[in-house]
Amino acid sequence: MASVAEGLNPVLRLSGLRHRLSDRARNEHYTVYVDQCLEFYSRDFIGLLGPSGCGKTTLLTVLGLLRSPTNLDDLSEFELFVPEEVSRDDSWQRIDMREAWQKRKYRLIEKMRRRHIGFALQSGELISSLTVQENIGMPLKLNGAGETEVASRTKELMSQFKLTRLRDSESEGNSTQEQDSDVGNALADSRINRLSGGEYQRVALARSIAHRPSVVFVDEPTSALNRELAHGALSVMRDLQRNRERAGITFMITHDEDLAQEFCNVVVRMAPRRNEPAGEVVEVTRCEIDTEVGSNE
Amino acid sequence: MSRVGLYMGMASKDVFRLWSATQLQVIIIAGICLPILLLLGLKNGHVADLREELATSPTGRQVIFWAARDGALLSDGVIENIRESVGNVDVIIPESQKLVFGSPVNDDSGEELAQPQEEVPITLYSTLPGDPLLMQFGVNEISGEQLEVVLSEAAVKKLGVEVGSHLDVRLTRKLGADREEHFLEFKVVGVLPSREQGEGQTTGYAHIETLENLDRYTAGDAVAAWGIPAMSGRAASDVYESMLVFCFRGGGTELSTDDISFLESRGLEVQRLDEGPELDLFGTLSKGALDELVTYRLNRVSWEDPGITPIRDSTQLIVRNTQAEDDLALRWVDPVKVKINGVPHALVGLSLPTKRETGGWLNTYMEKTGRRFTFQQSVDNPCQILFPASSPMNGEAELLVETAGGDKIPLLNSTSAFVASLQDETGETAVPSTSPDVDDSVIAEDGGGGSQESAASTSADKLSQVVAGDDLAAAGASSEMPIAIVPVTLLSFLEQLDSGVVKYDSGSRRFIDVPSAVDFTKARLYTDTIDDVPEAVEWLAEAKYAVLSESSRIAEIQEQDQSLQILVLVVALGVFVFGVITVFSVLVDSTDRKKGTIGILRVMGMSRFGVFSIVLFRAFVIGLLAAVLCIVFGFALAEFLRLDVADTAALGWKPTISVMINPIDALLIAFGALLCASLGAVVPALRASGLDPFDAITEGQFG
Repeated sequence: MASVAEGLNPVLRLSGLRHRLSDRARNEHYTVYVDQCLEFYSRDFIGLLGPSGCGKTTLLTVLGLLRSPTNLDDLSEFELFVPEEVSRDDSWQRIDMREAWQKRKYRLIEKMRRRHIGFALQSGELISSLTVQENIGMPLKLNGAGETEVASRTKELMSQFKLTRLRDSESEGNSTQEQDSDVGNALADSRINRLSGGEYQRVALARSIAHRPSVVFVDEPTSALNRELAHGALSVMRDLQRNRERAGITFMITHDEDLAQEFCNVVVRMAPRRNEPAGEVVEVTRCEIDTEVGSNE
Repeated sequence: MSRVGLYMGMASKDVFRLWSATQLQVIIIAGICLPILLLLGLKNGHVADLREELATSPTGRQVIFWAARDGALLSDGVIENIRESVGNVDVIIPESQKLVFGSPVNDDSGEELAQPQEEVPITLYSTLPGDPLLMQFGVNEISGEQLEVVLSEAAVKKLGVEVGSHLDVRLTRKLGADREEHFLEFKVVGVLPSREQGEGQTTGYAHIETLENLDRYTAGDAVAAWGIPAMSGRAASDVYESMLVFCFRGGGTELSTDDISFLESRGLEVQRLDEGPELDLFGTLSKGALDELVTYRLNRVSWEDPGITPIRDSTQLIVRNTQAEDDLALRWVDPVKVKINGVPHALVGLSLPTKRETGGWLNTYMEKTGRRFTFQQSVDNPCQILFPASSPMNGEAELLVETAGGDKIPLLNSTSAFVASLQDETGETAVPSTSPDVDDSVIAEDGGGGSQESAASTSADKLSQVVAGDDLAAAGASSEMPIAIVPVTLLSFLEQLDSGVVKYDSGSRRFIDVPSAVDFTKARLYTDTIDDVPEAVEWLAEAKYAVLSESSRIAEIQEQDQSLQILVLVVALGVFVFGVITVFSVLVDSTDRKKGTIGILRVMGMSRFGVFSIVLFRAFVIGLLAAVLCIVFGFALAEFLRLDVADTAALGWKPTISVMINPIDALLIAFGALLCASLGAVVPALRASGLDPFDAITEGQFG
């Protein structure tokens, strides 16, 4: 497979950002600058690195369509390229998010977020009244998927992320471990409060890509997972994102340089700006993706 | 799956899977609504208790009204009009009461008592089948025809009778010097408790027909249902619209102008007769009478149409006040056509004075064979008849006049007596009426022509001829049918019979005035329900009747019901507002605690409407659960409060309280619970849907 970075539209493009956060209670503000043109293409696994407080999460909220850029008037570019919903080929649709925010097309923005963006954030955000299976299937249901598709996709993801727990095989007289069987996967119907930290995080990761989004944001994946587990989960995620038709991109916010080097083909570094309460993107490095083995060169 | 279905499913799961957090909210809302439900039940129970006594007692539905203030007397037509106009009327019973004296007929073993027993005075009141007063004691039917009576306990005790017994009731009436007494046998068909009638009160209820018949009896009228004839003093009076006046012709002996003016001033038209059968009284007067007498007819100017306008003045007064010399006035009624034993006859009424009576001189002009009655004979027995001697009716054993109205009045054939009187006068023996020399049929049919005399006649023949010759047909009467002579009184009664003013009483064999219909001035009306009473009272009051009823009590109960309803409404409103505020504060707190969940849902792309729907629907489910809880507990508590357990040791302390929760109230409260929960959730739902997704995640909890 040839490099998708050449001669193709990016999945996400942003430049000229001057996003300002204000805390009125404290009369403080913080600005995030993106002077370069950030372009991310299919299959990119982007690492967003920087010290705490430099604006990584703020940038995530803008890129993830959670907040409107405060400098819409002089924002250079903010585009999202998403697969056309009804098309016979690999055609993509360009969505001008600057215009969408300017014209307050909130329904479009919500639709973009619902259909094309996934989040696996740092703090626990699973819905406690739903089971593991229901949590994972929630993005699909929000997008109108049928029960069969939800069940199938959920089962696949739970298997990929090794979210299985056997039922009591002795009580059922079944001596064979059937990890892939719904009948045997007690975890599927478990409530969230019965999960371990690692299981919790993996469920969140599985949910973030359940609806096959074009863009996935992962915030500090190692916070609840040990390195080994995090490595395994991220590998699954990366592979699932890359090795599908109309591959998406993955953003990972992390402090872990090694993890970033291992998984990311694009590294965006941010740093505090001097003499003002602000952060900025200082460096964007890109390396090619080994399409055969799916790893970075 | 539609998104709305997804939101409803999520809300329901949130309620039931996080029951430990939700149950408090359900209990709070149920606890707010339950007292209102019980309050409504207590109100309904209290009002029902107040109404029960009225609703179950006949007096609750009873309206007594009487024509005291220009209300129309209660004839059958008026009562029917009231029934149709008021509507929702169960029964109307005219009120009447009579005092009678009763004594038992049989002893305890059912044997007829030999000796008359002591009479007990009984006040009888009127009733009808379906009278609620009697129905409450199991007496559903009472017959007037069968002379049935319901007695009070006191009456039953004093008489020593029971249901099924018979008792003799003595009736007495007096009219002038006449006094009559009759006995009727009544059957006891029911007993009324003393508490209803008053201790010691010997009273009873009988069908209104019985009371009406008692009214008629007391008035001296005939009571056909009991086979009791009218009293003799109840005989009707004969009235006349015409008179015949006979005066001597010429010489100032006729009616003068002044006489005519006088008569006209008495409302009489004066007509001089120059022709007509009245001139010779249908052949009764001799030919000479026509030469010497002038006949006038006086007619009363009629002002009653239809009906009879009688001449109020007596014949004596007429005669005394006219200057015509030796004038004679006779009451007159034009001949009446009837059937006697099926044979058409024309009845001519002739009642003439005797020589001793005023104007007896007219008899000198009477053909000896002229048939007529004296005044006294007419008064003594109007139902007499004189036929021609040759009339075949003389051979009839019984003579019945058939009137147009179907009455059959027996007549006494006085022909033979009359003939005998003639015999006395002539001194000759009477012979049978038929004579080979006389064509009776011709004589009977021929209304014109003079008397026929046979040249060759023996005394018997002569008498027979005389007898035969007095045939009325020779007098110039109507040739259409045979003529018979009757007292003019009879014709007057037949005329009044035709007008419906009198009737023939076969028992007493006399004509009596038709008794006027018994009208009532007071009646008891029972409506279908107590709630129909005010409408009936209003209608009757507008129709100018005086009214007595429990409508004021019913109105009081209705007012109390309304007041209590308002009270409950005010309390419910206050509690409802409190409930909404409580739900609001609970849900605001709940929403705050669920910020994180709301945030992640918004981050995942759920719309503001979706978040709003989930919060609102969650509250709706809580409200629904609260409503179910409230209704279940409400009905259970109501049942418990209603239980009469005063006798039990464990629950003897519990009072028995009437609580009636009707389904409409329960539904209203359920709706209130839903509304309370939903309204309380609106603001929290709006707040939740307006949360910034990322702030919600970072600030919120994921409960």
